[in-house]
Amino acid sequence: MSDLTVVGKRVERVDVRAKVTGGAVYAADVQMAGMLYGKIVRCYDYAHARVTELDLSKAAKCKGVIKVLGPKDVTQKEYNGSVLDMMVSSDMRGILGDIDDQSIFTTHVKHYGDAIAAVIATSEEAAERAAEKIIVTYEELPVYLTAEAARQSDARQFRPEKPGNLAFQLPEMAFPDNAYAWGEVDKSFEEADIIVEDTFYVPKQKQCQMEPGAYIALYDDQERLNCWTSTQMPKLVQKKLANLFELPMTRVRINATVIGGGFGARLGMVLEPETCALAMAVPGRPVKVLSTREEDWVTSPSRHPGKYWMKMGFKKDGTPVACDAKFENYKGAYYMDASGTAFTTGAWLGGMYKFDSLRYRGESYYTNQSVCGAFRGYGNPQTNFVMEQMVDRGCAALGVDPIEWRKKWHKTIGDDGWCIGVPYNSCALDECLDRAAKAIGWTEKRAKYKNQTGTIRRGIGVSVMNHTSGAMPMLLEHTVCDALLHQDATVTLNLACSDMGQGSHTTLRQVAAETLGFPYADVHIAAGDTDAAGFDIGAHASRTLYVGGGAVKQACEDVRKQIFDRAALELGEAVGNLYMEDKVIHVKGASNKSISVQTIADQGVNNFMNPENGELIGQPGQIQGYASFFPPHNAPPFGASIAEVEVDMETGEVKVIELVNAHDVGRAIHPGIVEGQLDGGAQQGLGMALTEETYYDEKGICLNNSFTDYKMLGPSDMPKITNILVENPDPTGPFGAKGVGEAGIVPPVGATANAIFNAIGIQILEAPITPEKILEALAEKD
Amino acid sequence: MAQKNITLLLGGQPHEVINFDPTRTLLDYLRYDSARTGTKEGCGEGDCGACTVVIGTLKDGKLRFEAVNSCIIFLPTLDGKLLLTVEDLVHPDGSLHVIQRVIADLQGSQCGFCTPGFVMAIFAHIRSGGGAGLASINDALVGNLCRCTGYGPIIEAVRRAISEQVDDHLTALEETWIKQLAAMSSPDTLSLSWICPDTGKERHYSAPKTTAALTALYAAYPEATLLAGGTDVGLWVTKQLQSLNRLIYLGHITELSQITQSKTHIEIGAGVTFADAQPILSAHFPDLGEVIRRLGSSQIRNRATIGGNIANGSPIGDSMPVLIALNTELALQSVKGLRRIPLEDYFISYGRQDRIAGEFVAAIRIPLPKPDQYFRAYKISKRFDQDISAVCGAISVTLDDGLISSARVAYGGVAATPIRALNTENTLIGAKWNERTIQSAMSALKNDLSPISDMRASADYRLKVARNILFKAYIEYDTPLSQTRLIGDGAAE
Repeated sequence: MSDLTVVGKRVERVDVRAKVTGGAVYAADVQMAGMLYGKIVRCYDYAHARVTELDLSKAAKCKGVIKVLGPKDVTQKEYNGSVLDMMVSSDMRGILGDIDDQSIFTTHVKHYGDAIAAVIATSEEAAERAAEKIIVTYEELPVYLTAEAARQSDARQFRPEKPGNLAFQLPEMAFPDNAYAWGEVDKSFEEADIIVEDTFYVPKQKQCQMEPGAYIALYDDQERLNCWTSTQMPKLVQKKLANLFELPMTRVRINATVIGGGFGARLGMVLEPETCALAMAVPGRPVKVLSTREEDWVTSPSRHPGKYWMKMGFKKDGTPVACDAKFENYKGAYYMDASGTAFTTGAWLGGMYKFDSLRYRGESYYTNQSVCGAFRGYGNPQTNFVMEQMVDRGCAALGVDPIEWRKKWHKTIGDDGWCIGVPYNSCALDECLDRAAKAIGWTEKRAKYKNQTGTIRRGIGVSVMNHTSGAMPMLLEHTVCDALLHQDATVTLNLACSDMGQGSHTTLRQVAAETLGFPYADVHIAAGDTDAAGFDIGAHASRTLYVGGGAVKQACEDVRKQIFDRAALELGEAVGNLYMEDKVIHVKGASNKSISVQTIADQGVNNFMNPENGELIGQPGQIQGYASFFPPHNAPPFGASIAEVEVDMETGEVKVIELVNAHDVGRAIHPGIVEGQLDGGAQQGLGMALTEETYYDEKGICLNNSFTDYKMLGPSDMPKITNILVENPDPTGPFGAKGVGEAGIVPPVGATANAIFNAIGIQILEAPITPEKILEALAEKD
Repeated sequence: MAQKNITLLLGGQPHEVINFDPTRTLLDYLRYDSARTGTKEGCGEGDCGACTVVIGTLKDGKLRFEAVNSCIIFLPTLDGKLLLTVEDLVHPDGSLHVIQRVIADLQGSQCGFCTPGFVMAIFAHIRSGGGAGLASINDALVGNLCRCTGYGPIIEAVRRAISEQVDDHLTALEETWIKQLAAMSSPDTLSLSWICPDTGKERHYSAPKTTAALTALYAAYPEATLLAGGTDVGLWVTKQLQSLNRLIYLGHITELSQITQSKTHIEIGAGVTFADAQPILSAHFPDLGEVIRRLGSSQIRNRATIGGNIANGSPIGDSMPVLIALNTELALQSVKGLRRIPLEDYFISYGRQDRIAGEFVAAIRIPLPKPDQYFRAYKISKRFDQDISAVCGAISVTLDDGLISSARVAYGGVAATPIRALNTENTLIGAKWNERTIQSAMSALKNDLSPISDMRASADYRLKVARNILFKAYIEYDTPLSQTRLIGDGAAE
């Protein structure tokens, strides 16, 4: 593959000029003539209450108000904002237990910020002023914030279909004993010489994408529902809205605007239902709904928090004999991704080490917290925090080096992957660990940091992860791509894959150019209009390059094949005798016989008859490539991080001073973009380990739904980062590429925790590891 | 008849804004009234920096560029200023400004939502002579959050932009701007009034130019809201949706922005921003400088004033405990004259300060350090920068031949107001400066502090850390070469 000309190059990102100049148009920047503004009235007084009275009359009389809508003024259909139900077969849907339990406006408040009503007005200010005039009377209900509280026998039931407020557990019919398992766990533990066991807590981390939610909807003169949104999943949201408002898909159009970061927060529907309901109440007028940061925080999904128990058994020689685990997550007020994360959290656990036996149980409990859903890693960061600390505790008890142990016992090619029955087909984790260890000076530092004294202590810790490229075989993986060859021999790709800043449109364009054998400049990606583009799941599960790239490659191969077929006809040669250079097709060994792609493309469009002989000049018909692509595998990415920290023994403060990430990326289509994913992932992973958690008071009032009080890491909090890209091409990925979107967040979580363990000799069981928890643990140790 | 318009330089041209809500934010003005949507709103409270723009001010005949958060700045404070937004940086021929180009080249932008804010923060950093060292760049960028890049590529872009030293098209315009701004300046009080078309209520804004004018105005309207940097007042409007119907802006009063140094003390006017106060305070009290460096962000420090931080009376303002430990005196001004009190006496109880109607904070006076004075200050928070402290504490002792002849210990975040730890001080005074004394001072501390538990920290942690920083101060004296801090002086490279 050394002759690649576009793949592997640091080309300019397709979107970057617009972004550095301020010209990129995000949803909030879209202005239209006659635009109205919607303000959603939310309950900020209670986390659980029944609306006993709703008086909209005063608000309706306010200046500038067009309409005020309550629960009865919009569709009564319930929905599920998540899109998991659209990614599985109807049989599986039953097994997952997905239910529709959300309403556009509710009379039963289930979390802080639940939507009650809305105002449509001629200006944002007028809508805000009127919203304050809406009078709501509530009957307060008991609040359940944790699984422990929600499953009490006398707790009020969130949904009649889900007794005990157990939204989901791994279903018996697919998972005997409600467990994702292999081997005889109880028996295996009897063989163990060393057993480690503990209960951890993983936090409600927020995606904190920099662009707060912004939506525009217009029910137009053709009775079509148009929605401008920065969703990660335009095609699934199109279908979801069509279902909710009972419209055919031809009458729902998503205009995907530039996405100011997603990380899962925009995976399914967020405020699209509310905005569209407002627009349908004022046909012909566009309605804009802007979320404040505080509002976005409690209406878009977060990471699943919860209790995570784990037990591991080892033989004296280090053999991992058994692993038993249970993750009870605090699901939040609505079902959303209750099934998905509860499963995958265990899948990542199962995909990592060669335990003789393993048993994982995942349960999702309704709580009066805001909803949980997808967040970069989808359960993997949670597992990493727990699993990797348990492994290091085991290594400490065994007296073995944590890197050596991991190298010996991680799963590799031929072992079952995160999905039992789908074995790994590539793995370069050993090389990741070796190169990371060398880059940071693991052996020397590990020795040096033994027996420290003084105020500031240092520690170094490692963590590894497995992940996926797309969700096959658990979920539907499918992307449709059209590649249109214009008469000037340039190509426009039409697809629905979204670029939420991760650079996917750039890398897809590279894949296209490389496949076609065209310069990068000769390809354009047209995406984001659901009228035009065929099916695509959307951006999630590190899939866009792997699956979308597969579709792009196949569509471009189709174009290339058609070009060569026509060239063969024109040149009177077999395709096998032809080759392309600089967009000219030559006959091998015959330097004078050639035809340019330009000629073929032009003749395909501008096709005329030769008046002299009545024959067509060239081959008629515009060339268009097409792919409806289903990937054969999930090209597993692996990765390792080593973190070095300093801990202040007097204040408990932690500073990460260095982080090395080494990832098995298959092939880096654009190394700069891959590094960018790892850098950005690290900021989120370190944040989860050290500072990030959404807090509620005992009444369920959210205490820090803002950047003032929720602290993600800033520039001065970041360590020196070295990224090592291990390129070991995957047999199924486009040019060998694996997905890299989520991998970066995962191992920094466990590596940081393990570095702290190394520095102070104590494991902190609850993330984030705040200064307070460290000081408390140190005091207990004394 | 009150004047209803202001003039600012926007897009290089004097731009008059007429009949507008004086509490309209600069960000709304840009996005909704000027079609400059490149500037983004990410939080609406000055925490994320997506709305960063650059304000140019004429000072001593020169242009001074500062990055600010446009989301919490009221539009009329822009009167007589130059305003630059991300749209102004692109060269007239459409080519990218060097800062924009290096960000693009080095993968400094992914989702791009934070990018315009970063571009402008970097512009201000470079134009105000900011350095290429990591600490200096971090200080310039901590007010900008990014969730995609991990910041590394952006920091590298700043270094590259500085090293390339390419003159941009804006440099050549500076002479013209200076002339235009000079022509726009006026010695008179700016007075605006506006009637809300929806509610019919009138809203007033005055910006006096002298202390005398302010004193008279505030005496006439003691109910008015005094506006200085607006880093807190801005939020009353953007987050609490308060109607502030009479504002008096202090930002144009030259007398309030003076810094003077005598043989015995430094005097700092209430209108001096933290950015302006930092150099002199750092020079005399490095730890105070370090606390200021970590106070808010550069955008906040460019606006927030010492007077505002005091007047607002917050129990968690970081400068207060440090200034109290340094025996700072506060000057309050009203028509009745000037009143000087010890800073700690200003804070009576939560939300209550010693300030009579029509009285405003005029200045502070800090005694210069003495040779035998040992002073340390610590800010403890979850994040190092732009975070509200769990505890902020300071200790200042005078050592006389190994004996502590005087001691002042003060804390923020551990009581309803910033407080002096008097029991602790008494334990120290007259005792030998050794570990045993420090240990008894640490024990005494529980009688001085009444911390609460909240999501930032528990009462227990606050008390523990308040004690431990006394110990840290001792260690730093006793074994000055040992590493005792994670950041700033005393931290590892």
